[in-house]
Amino acid sequence: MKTADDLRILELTQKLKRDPSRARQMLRQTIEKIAIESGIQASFNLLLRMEVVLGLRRPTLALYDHAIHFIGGAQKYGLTIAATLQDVFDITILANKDVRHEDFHEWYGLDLSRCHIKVLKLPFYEKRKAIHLDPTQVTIKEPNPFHRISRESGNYDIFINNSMNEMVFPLANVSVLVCHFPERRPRTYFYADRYNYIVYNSRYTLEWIGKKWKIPSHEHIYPYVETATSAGQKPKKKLLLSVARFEVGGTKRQKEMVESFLTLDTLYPEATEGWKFILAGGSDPENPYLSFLENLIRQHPRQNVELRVNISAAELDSLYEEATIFWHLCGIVHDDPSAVEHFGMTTIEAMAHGAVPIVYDGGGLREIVDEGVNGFRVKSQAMLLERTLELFSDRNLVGQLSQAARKKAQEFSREKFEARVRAFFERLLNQYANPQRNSSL
Amino acid sequence: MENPLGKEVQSLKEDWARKKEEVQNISDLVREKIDRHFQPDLQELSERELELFIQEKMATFKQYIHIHPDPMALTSHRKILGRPILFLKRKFIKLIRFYFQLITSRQTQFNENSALLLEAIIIRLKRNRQELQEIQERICRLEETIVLLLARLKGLKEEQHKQESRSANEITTRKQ
Repeated sequence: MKTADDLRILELTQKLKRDPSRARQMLRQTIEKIAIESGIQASFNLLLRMEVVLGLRRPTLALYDHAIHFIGGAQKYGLTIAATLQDVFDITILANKDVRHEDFHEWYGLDLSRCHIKVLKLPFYEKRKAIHLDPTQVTIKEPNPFHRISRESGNYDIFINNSMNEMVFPLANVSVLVCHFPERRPRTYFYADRYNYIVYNSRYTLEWIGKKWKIPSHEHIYPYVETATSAGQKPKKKLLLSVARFEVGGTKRQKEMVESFLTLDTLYPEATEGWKFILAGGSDPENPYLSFLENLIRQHPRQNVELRVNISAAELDSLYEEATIFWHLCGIVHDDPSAVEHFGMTTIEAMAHGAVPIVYDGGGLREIVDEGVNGFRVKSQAMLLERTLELFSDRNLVGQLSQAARKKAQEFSREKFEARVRAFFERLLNQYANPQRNSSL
Repeated sequence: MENPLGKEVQSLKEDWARKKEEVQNISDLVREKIDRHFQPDLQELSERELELFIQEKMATFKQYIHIHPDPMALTSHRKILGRPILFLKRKFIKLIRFYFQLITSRQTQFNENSALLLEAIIIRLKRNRQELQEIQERICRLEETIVLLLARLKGLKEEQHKQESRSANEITTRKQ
């Protein structure tokens, strides 16, 4: 959206007010002129904006995510934006597969009853019977299957693309790309730079948007975690916890953590006396990485390492409550930025429950854990053991860090997330509905 | 919608929505070319990205090792004469195929050798990386062991210190 549109709208509304009898002719002439200069979409967009400027209807907003039919952190982020804004905007959630309001309620506890859901199936993926719509399957040889979404985006005042998918060319007056991480470099059908605003979830993501896409970002909105728990009711146990998905490729580094604990337990058994290491996380059935971990643990004579797979939220909550220390090494021994934790939700969840985090010193985890204040950040497995031994032997330090960790976790509350979302979109709406001579929209 | 201006805007919007539907391409809708070609900066690629890049490029490279004339690649824009001309050209190419292969056989040989050489270099590189990874893992294990041994040593020294002070206390008590 350029300032020219603001000027045009201002001029038009002033002229129309001065001479309402010529309104019809004047409008038609302007719209025709715009169509010749910038295309039919620009004419249509001007009319859309006029409706909002003249107060003829509520502004419309579309939220798109090609993976919205799956449960996931990024999807929760996008849908919470919709839930927060549904009283201000007329919201449509654009999906590529069938999904219901009830699913969103069941998965995230979100009430999106005032939002519409529109399903736009993409023939490219339907033909392949794909459940997961992988944008990397699209090459220059085929026409862009996401153009169907692009076309739809042009029917709304504001379009939010919440997917890790830069192949949607935005046609709306105001377009926002929510970037959870720039997974791919610019290649076939790359349009991230065509969005008016880029919202990023962490400073780590911001850094990589600059490095990989070489474009500026605009608004920082951290994801949130449900920090209002029964934290502090259960006594802490000698429990070391890790919570991460058991990825087949082992990117969450559970193998490295188990190996480190086993080394500690073998070489210094006095230190680990009474301690238990539990690794919790989700997994697909028949996961070879999980089987490998089970074997590794089985070979250890002392039975103090456990795997808890696909446990319930209540069970997980109870583990967080009992844990004294939380380990998270995602990103260690890796040069690939996408394999490093982009943010680290489980670390915040653990901190909200007073577990002291010892995490890999990289990615989004640097923004969560402040070294020596509310936990530790480590560069190697040796450092991980060094810090763990420090905590094993110093109860006062544990108490102090645990309290600070609980406090830090409050910065990532849902209330703060909603306040940031409201502030950003209300600012956009204000600029959109009230054109100015020197607008920055 | 009581406002006459509002009615006008809405009716215009409906007209332009119809016009919009008639346009097939996004580029035509916005009157600009939207697709661009991006060349990756190889220096910036991570190991994983490099790996994928090598795989992709090797596959393309192997596709073009053998050079064959492709008569079907010939096309014509002439409406009436196009077909017979194309027919003759294609026949001609088929006829000279044998002589063409005589010329290109050395190029094909060169291409085959280049592909083999490239593959050999990639294999060597992969082996070196594997070795490096193993060395890194061993260093990591050693670092862990050093940390633990130092911690144990510290514990033992403290214990020894405690015992020594206990013995010294006992001796003093006995003397008294």
